[in-house]
Amino acid sequence: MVRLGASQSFAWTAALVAALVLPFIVTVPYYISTAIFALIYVTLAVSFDLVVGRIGALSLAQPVFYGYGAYAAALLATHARPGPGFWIEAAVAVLGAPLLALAIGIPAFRLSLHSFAMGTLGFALIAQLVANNWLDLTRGPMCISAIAPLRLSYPGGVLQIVTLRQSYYVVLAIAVLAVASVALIARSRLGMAFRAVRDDPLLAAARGLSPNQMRLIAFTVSAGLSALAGVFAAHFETVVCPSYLDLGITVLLLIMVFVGGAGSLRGVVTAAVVFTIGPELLRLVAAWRLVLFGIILLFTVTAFPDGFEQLYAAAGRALSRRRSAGPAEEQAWKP
Amino acid sequence: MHVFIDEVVNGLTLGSEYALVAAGLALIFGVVQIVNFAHGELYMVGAYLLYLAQTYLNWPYVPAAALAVLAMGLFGLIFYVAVIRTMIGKGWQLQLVATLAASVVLINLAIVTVGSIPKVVVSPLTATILTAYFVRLSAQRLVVLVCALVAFAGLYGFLKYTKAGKAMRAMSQNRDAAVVVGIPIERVTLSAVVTGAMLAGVAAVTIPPLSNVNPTMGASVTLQAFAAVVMGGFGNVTGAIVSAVLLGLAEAIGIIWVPSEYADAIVFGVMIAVLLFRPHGLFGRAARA
Repeated sequence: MVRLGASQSFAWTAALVAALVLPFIVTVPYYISTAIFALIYVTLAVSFDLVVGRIGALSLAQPVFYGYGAYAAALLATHARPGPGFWIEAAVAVLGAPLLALAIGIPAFRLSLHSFAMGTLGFALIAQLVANNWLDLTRGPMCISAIAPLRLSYPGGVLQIVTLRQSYYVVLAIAVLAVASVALIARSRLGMAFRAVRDDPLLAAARGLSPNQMRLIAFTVSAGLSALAGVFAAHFETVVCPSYLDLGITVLLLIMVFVGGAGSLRGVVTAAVVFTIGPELLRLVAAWRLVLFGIILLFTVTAFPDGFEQLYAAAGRALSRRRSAGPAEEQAWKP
Repeated sequence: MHVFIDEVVNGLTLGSEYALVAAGLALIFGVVQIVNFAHGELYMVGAYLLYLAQTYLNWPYVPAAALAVLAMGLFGLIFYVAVIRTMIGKGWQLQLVATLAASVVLINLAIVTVGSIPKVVVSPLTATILTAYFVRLSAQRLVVLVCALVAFAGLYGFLKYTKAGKAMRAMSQNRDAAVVVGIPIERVTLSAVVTGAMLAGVAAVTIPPLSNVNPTMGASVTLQAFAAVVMGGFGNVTGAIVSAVLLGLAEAIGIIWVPSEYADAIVFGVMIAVLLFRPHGLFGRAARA
């Protein structure tokens, strides 16, 4: 177990409290829906980082699981109205996505480094083609629309998630679940095994850890969390289109992970929030936004390979210098 | 039978397109071990250069095409300075993400400057139909095949007989030893990137007259070319070219039975299948030429 320093646990608690009271401070609906998208991306980026940053496998198939969750929820909710409700949809997503992850991961992890990236990209493209062309199931580019609001049943009743504020708390719960799962994994023996496999697969194998088994565990957990975000997004946006599987999402997630600092939870969460809210505030045209994103990403990986983590680490060092004896910082990975 | 022969010709054209892009990709990977995700965008830039030369300079096809290929050499130089040089010696994930970022920048710069509406480039040979026995094909397809063959012959001679080409092969065989004997890594990398850009330029001036020029035209070609490079064994130029032609043929012939929307799935299906049985590609790690 790696213990959090006092300043870090304080910062996480403060962030959580701020997130909890946010809908009462900010009341403009547009800002709340932007915050909802930010939390969807926090979930996606943190689970993506489990694969990219913590196990060191550059998968380009992440939107497949997000899209799977969204399509599963959309199909369940539209084929039988009023639909089976959140828990069943979540179960289908969270149990189905790891199976899909195994189907992709078992062949793809036979490949190394660059080939793995290309292999997963191949699966991502095939998934995109299926979403676009299997009209009977997905309605292709006509999208699945009019998805009813999320129905959350609890002992004694059913809650319809209708208002923005309700949606916000649901997605906040999902994001907290994702961040907490990744944090717990990172601090457990499993997280240490992940790090061993990432830093030296041969040595890890020699110590009795199967690298591919570890990689598949990271890949399946990450897939489950992304699919859960997809279930929420389908109900929140009320339509599901093939664009859920877009390569653009992969690019955005790569930006969040690398600008945040691969393997750094605080960095990735910050980057996910900054890169969903920033473009909204700047109100940029989509194409210019991507030009800017690309330049930022290029600049970051050439000049600041540790991204935001570098800033946090520097701030942490400054703080602990003032207190003379500081706790050991979680080391970010330098790929 | 007609359909089959037509598709074989289509497949060879497609295959040359993929091969011209894949050869540059494999060359750059062999020399600096960087996977250039933006290589298809070099193809796109080349096609726009041809469009600009035809529309604004009013040059006829052949000189405009020659100018575009030369300008691609210059663009390769810029690309090397802006992207590749800064990433030499960094981690492979960072390199891949950097070139992916470069591709996003290029595609979207094209969208905001020239617009996403497809542009037309013309070649006098597109409308010329050649008939031999019962095969009818556009003369432009023949141009594609001939230009690709000439480019590959040139590339082979360059790698085999020139000093720069030998240095590239040396670097892709053993980088450390190449440094020890005093091969200037940066200059050789630069010439690999420029060569790769010009090969993409050859594809860019011969193929778009058969279809059109648009900002995302490079994206799908990058992926097909990657499939070829992965299948051919990373860094193996000959392997990449042969795999690219095979993939082009598989895609074109597969369309006879598979709905055409799934054409890309054929390419990636073949790639995944090959990698499952031969994880280091069809041509393994040996024999890099």
